[in-house]
Amino acid sequence: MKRNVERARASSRWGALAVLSGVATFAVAQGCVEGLTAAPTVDCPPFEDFKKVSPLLEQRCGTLDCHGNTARPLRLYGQYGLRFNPDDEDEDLYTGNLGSPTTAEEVERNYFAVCGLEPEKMEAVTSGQQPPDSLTLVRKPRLTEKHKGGRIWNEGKVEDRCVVGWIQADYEEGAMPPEDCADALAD
Amino acid sequence: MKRANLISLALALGAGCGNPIADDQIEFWGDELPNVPASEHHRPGQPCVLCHGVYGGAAPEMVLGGTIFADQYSFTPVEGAEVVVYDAVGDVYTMTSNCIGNFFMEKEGNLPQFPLAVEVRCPTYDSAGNKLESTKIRSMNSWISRDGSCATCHSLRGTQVDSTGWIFCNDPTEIQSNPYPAVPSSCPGEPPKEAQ
Repeated sequence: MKRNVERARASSRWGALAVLSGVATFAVAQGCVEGLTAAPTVDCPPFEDFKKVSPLLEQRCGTLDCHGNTARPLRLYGQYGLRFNPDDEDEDLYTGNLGSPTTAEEVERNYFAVCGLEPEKMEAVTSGQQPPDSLTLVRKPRLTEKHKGGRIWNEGKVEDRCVVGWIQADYEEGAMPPEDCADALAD
Repeated sequence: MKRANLISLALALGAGCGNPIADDQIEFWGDELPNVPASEHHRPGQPCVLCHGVYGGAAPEMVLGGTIFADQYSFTPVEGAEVVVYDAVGDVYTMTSNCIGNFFMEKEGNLPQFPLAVEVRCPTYDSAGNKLESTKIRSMNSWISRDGSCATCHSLRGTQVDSTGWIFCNDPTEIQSNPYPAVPSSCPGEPPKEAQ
């Protein structure tokens, strides 16, 4: 367990840095950096692997009438739902325009949303102290926690394995078979 | 005195149970047009279930509702389009648009289970305006997760970061070859004047 924790700490440094940079960027943009003595960090599973998870969340959770909404705590961007287009820089970035696939910036924002949903719990899970199903991100789609959108997938199905595998990948070697997320999208 | 206080408290609690977001949206859409009575032909392109839902309280209560327009550049309604809904348990439901393009499903009997996949079977015409037997199908690229108002996502604001624009049958290249007729004078509805 200790080895897992140490490995998790080392290998999730990228994820923590990514979230840290996102939070810092946001803070600077908001002009609220003054007075900060330490930037908040979240120990999150790797961003590189999240790139395989994001398309599933965009498709199954990110429609405009659910998490593709700026009012939602778990806000998801993507080509099927809400687009991230500050200052209307790109006129092709509108909902449902399959000619403009989800951008790297949108995937990054999805990562921040997922990692920041329950930051302390996420850290406890990525360090192996708590099981993945302690996260609302895992429980809500399974409907083991109240979810207005109902059951999105069942425990153990490819969609579930894609998300849980990503969460576990950082401390359980081989926990994220690459085909799960691809299969989930094709399902 | 004590009783009066209790009544005041109950009234205050009751008044505090509103939904300011829904209230703002309902207020945004404003009053009925003076020449269009509240009916199945009113408010084309507006989010039906906002009022015809549990919170809005307007009768009839609806599960789904929306409007079909001819193309993304106009608000010419399409009559006779079939909106086919495939629900999460495999049941299929069909609604047909009326002369102002509106279609809806009342909340009664067997109800579709979200999420829903939807396709629209649009009527077709020849370039002279004669109605043809064939239909053309337009399918949604994503599913409907929980909102019965089509116009929540297919808004009259057109394509935006949070709107895929109003529902339409014709792509730009089809507008000339598949012209939809104007609203018949017998139709009691009135199409939207401009993007909102």
